[in-house]
Amino acid sequence: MSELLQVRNLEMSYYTEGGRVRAVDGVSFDVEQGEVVGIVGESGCGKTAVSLSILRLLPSPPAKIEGGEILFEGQDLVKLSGERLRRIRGDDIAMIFQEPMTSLNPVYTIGNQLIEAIRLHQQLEGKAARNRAIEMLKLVGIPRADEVIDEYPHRFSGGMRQRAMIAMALSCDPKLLIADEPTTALDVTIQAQILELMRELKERLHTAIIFITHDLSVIAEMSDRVLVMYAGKIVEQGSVVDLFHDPQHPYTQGLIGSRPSMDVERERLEFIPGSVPNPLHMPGGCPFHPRCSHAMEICRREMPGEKQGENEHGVRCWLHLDKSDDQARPLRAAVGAAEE
Amino acid sequence: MSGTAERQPMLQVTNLKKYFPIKTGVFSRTTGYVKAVDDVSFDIYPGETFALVGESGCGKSTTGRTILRLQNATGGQVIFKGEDVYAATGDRMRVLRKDMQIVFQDPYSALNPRMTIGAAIREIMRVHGMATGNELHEKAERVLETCGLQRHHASRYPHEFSGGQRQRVVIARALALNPSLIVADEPISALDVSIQSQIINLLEDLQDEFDLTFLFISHDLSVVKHMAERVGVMYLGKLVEVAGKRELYENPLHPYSQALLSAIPVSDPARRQERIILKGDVPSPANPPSGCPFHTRCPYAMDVCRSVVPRLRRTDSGRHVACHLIHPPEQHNGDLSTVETRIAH
Ligand SMILES: Nc1ncnc2c1ncn2[C@@H]1O[C@H](COP(=O)(O)OP(=O)(O)OP(=O)(O)O)[C@@H](O)[C@H]1O
Ligand SMILES: Nc1ncnc2c1ncn2[C@@H]1O[C@H](COP(=O)(O)OP(=O)(O)OP(=O)(O)O)[C@@H](O)[C@H]1O
Ligand code: SF4
Ligand code: SF4
Ligand SMILES: [Mg+2]
Ligand SMILES: [Mg+2]
Repeated sequence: MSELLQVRNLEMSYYTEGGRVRAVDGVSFDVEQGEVVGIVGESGCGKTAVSLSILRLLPSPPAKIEGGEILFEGQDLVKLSGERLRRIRGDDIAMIFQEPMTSLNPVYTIGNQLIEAIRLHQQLEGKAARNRAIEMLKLVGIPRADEVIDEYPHRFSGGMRQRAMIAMALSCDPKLLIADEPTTALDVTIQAQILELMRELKERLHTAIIFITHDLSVIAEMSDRVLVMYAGKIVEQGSVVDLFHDPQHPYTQGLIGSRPSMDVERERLEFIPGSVPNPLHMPGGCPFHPRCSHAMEICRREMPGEKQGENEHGVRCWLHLDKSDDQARPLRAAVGAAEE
Repeated sequence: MSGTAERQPMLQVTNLKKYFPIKTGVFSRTTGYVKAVDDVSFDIYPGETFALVGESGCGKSTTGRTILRLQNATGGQVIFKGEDVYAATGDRMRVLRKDMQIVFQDPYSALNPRMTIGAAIREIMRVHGMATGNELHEKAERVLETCGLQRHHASRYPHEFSGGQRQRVVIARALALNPSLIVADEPISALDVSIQSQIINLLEDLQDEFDLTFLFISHDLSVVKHMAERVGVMYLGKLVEVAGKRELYENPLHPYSQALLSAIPVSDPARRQERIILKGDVPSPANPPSGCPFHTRCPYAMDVCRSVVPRLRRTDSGRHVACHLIHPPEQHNGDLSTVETRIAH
């Protein structure tokens, strides 16, 4: 299998008034051609920061890439700039955002914007470009495409805007599509339409997708492989089946266990005590240790390294690493983990 | 739920309507109405959790707010513990207000940022004559404790809490008035995923301990399945189906309920399922389709659906459905079992 994207030890921080936020803290993962990699994690864990880093769309200041490599077909995007970066961004990597209005220009019709993208990336002009644009809108399931092409974005519903965004992203026939919460703002029946559409397009066009969401069920539906992020780090990654059927990291286990299941009725839900840490006051060692019921002495001192299991199932947790008896002493009593 | 037939409902909502005027032009003339809630009827029994589900803008929150008279209804009737909420005035209304509390989605905006949470809870208890003097302090701290916070938290300000803790505060403030009914409007949607289950567990514990009745509003159908005993499905201001939780999830009768339930992503990659993908978008509530509001997206739509509004009617199995397939317009009381089985497949 050929790697399309290899992210290696990526470090990115925001320098805010309150101090440095390590939004991406030593993240490594690969994306193969035609593969869907899901990134899941709670608000603020760095999902968007990873995608903006790959596209080099970070606001600078306050953002700064401080280390690592982002190899796209072997080229390090961190080192690229100007025209070459723009070319890759337009031709090879496209992005869909949570709120489509941020990337649709309200003063141009949907058609204008789509035709512009097609002219740039597909070298089509005039009538041919317009016809192609209509074709793209039909492809993403927009009814009456030949009429609505001349409408302005504000006349579109949320679902239609998201479709127009996808059409726009696909108009350059990208090798990699980054979809950041593409359905979070949508209703569940519309979400089902968009997910179905993305699956179809992936089959047909063989585009690799990085799919970002905080919704575990959407991840289960869409991904081939999954990265679980917590506090700027990938704490677990593996195939979607391994991750859901055999989660290894206490945080992943907690996330999966705390969702009500649609098939099994349980009296009480599991829960993760405490709350997501303040990015300006990250706990030392394993960032999950203040909430982890398995936490041991070593967890508050040292960040665990990644342990690779079978089938490229990786986990960063001291439970799965060698340690001395002293280091393995529990931090708190087994029941009733500390809640502030 | 079994046995609901013999019990008296705590809340009876009958033909509730809330129309918002649409004003246009320089003279702000009313040119139409958003029928946010249009002829909605349901009952809630003591101690149960009744959930309202449906997509954004279908009228769930407006239903909740008009029941509590936080917004005045355009029409219909709300009977709470035998008393007509819209006929109550002055003191009676104050008593009803205390007995029916609401918890909103966003705990931050629900709290006064310049008041400690202890002061906020004492204030509302004093207004409703729940306690005086030292007893106020004691009771306020106790209710915080009941909601999983600590007594010393009473002297803190809202911004000093995490999102999940703030929602506990809001729940504590509602609970402080010792209500019978709590309308919980998306109480967990704004919270981190890892915190949501804490709040769900808390609501369930409080329900057991204080015999609370919930109107639970949510678009999260997995959470509703966990929490509710009965569920009402809304679409464009109308209730399209009301059923026991198990019946609804196992065998939804209304075509919209079927699509809605099949659209829920399943968090098990081994069970990616075939689903009903609806065509088209949710129509604007300012300009709803004629006849059955769902006919523009319904895979079974018939001619009659475009002109005749299906009413919410009881089926033989005791559920309520508003669909011409279940209750053909010309047939009011006939044998419906054949139709029901047909839809089930
Ligand atoms: N422009 C910015 N300036 C300063 N800090 C930022 C900025 N954008 C994000 N951050 C911080 O960086 C961290 C990672 O944010 P990011 O947006 O990547 O999270 P996320 O996982 O995408 O969350 P969400 O699910 O809410 O979208 C957070 O602590 C956030 O507060
Ligand atoms: N104060 C208002 N003035 C005018 N229209 C309103 C007002 N409040 C609500 N509406 C409209 O009434 C309809 C129902 O709104 P409501 O907030 O009850 O929906 P909802 O089901 O709670 O949606 P959500 O899931 O997004 O919270 C919507 O079309 C909304 O735009
Ligand atoms: S490293 Fe320690 S604290 Fe972190 S998840 Fe593993 S057991 Fe818990
Ligand atoms: S009344 Fe007609 S359009 Fe409406 S849900 Fe039933 S079959 Fe579909
Ligand atoms: Mg984000
Ligand atoms: Mg609402």
